[in-house]
Amino acid sequence: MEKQNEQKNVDVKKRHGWLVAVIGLLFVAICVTGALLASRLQAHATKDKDIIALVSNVSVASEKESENSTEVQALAADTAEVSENKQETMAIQSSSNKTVSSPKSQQTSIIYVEEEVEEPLHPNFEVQDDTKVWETTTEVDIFKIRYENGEAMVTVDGMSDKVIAPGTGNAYTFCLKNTGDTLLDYTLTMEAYFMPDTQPIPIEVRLKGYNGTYLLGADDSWVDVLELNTVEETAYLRVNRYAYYTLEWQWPFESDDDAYDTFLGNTAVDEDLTLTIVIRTIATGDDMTTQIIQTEQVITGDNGMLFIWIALAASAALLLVILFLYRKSRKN
Amino acid sequence: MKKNKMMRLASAMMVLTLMSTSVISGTFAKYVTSDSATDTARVAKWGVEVTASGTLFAETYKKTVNTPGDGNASVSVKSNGAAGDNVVAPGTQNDEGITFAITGTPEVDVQVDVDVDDSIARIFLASTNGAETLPDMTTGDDTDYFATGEYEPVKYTLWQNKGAGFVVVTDTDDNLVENVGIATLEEALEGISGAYSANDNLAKEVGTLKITWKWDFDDNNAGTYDKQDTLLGALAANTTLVPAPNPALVDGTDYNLTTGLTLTVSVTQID
Repeated sequence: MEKQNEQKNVDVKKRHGWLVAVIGLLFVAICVTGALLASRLQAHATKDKDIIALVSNVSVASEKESENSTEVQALAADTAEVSENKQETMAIQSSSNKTVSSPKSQQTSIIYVEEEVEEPLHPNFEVQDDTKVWETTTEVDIFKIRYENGEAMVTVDGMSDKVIAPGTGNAYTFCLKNTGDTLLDYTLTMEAYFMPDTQPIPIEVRLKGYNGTYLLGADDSWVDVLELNTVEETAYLRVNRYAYYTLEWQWPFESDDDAYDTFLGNTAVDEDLTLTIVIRTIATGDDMTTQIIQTEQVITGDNGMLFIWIALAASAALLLVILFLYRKSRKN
Repeated sequence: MKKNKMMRLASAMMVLTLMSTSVISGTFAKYVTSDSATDTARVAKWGVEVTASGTLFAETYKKTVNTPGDGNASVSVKSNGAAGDNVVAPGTQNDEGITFAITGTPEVDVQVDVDVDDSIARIFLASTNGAETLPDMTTGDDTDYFATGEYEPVKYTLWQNKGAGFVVVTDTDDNLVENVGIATLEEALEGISGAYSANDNLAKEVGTLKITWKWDFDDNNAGTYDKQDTLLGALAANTTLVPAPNPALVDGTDYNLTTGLTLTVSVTQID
C-alpha cells in the first residue's frame, strides 16, 4: 500500500513536472509574443504621444470648466478670473487642436511594393523609296522606260517597257525605318537573275550601305550584277532610326565586246532578254516587355502581424485550459 | 510502390509541362515582318540592218541599151582585160546601179554614217593651164591640138526611196544630185549621214539609196566631147599620140583612166 502510494506520488510528481514545463513554455511564448507586440506598438506609441496628451489635456480642461462653473456660481463679479480661466481653457483647447492634426498624419505607414508587369510593345518597320512604301511584294523603279543623256535628251526609249541598253544606268535608294517603340533587328538580302539564264547581260552594280561604306563594289569599281546574290546585311535599328541603302547599276557603253552587245540587241528583237533584281528585308523585335513597377501601399491602422494577436490569444486560452485541468487533477 | 512512383513521375511531368509553358509563351511573343521589292527590265531592241546589192561597173555592156549584160551578140562594149576587169566607155551606163538599204527600228538613238573612201578614182582629162596642148586625134591632122577644161565623162546620179519610189536626192543647197561628178556624189552621200531618234523607222527615215552612172555618147549628137573621149580612148589603148602632146601628159595629173568609189555605211548607237 505504501509502495502504491509512493508510486502514485511519483507519478503525480512526474505529471506535475510536465505540467510545469508546459506552463513555463507557454509563459515564455506569451512573453515573447508580448515583446514583439510591444515593439510593434512602440512606433505607434511614439506617434500617438500627442493623442495621449490630448486625452489628459481634455481631462484637465474638464476639471477647469467645473472649477469655473463653481466660481461663477459663487461670485458672478469675478469675471476676470473666469475670463482667465476661460482663456486658459481656450489656450488648452487651441493647443489640443494643434496636436490633433499632426498625429492624425502619423497614424499611417507607407511601404513600397515592387512587382513585375508585362506591357505590350508596338514594333513597326517600314521600307520606302522616294515614291512609295514597300509592302509584302512591291514593284519599284530600279530600271526605267526612258533614259536621258547629259543634255537631258532621251537616247533610249522602251516605249512602255522598262529597258536596259549599253550606256544606261540608274541609282535606286531605299530607306529602312523603325517607326515603332522598340529596337528591331533586320536582315537585308538581294537576288539577281537573267531570263533566259543562257544569255547573261553585262550589267555592273555597286551597293552602298547606311554608313557610307560599300557592301559591293567601291567608288571606282563595279562588280557583276550576279554578285547581288551574295548580299546579306544584318544590323539593328533603334526607335525612330533609319538606314539608307543605294543600289547603282550600269551597262557600260564602251566595252571590249561591242559584238556581244549588238548580238544581245538583235536577239532582243524576237525574244525578251530580261534582268530581274529582288531586294528583301526581314525585321524582328519583341512585342512584349516586362517592367518592374514600384507602388506605394499605405498601411492604416495596425493590421500587420495579426498572427501575433492570434498567437497571444491562443496561448492565453491554452494556459487557462491547462490550469483548469491542473486544479482538477489536484482536487482528485 | 509502383503506383506511387508512377504518380510521382506523372506529377513531375505535369509540373515540368506547366513550367515550360512560360518559356514557350515568351518565345512566341515576337514581332516579325518581311518586305520585298522587285523590278525587271528587258534588253532594248537593236535590229538594224544595212544591205547592199547590185554592181556599178561591168566587163560588158549591151548593144541596144549599153547597160551591163551578158551575151556577146548584144554586147557593144567588152573588156579585153583579165576577168573582173571592168570597163567604161562613151555610151555606157548603169541605170540599175548599186543600192544599199538601212532598215530597223532600234530603241536607242543612232548615228547613220555614209563615208566615201578618200581614195576614190575618177576618169578625167585636162590641159595644162587651159592651153591647147592636147593632141586632137579626131582630125587626123598631125598638128591639131585642143584645149579643155577639166573633163570628167562619167556622171553619177544619187537616188533615194523612203517608201514612195526612187527620187533624185537634193544636196544641202537643194541642187539635184543628178549627172554629177564623183566629188559631188561623195558630198551628197556624206550628207545622208545623221542622227536618228530612238524608235525611228530607219527604212522610212533613210530608206534605200541607189547610185547610177552614165558616160554620155555624143551629147545628143552634138559630139561636144568627141576629142576628149577619143584622146582618153587612145590613152587607154596606149596608142601613140599624134601629134605628141606638148608638154607630155602626166598620168594622174593631166588625165586618169579609172573610176570607182568605196563607201561604207554604218549605224552606231549614240550614247
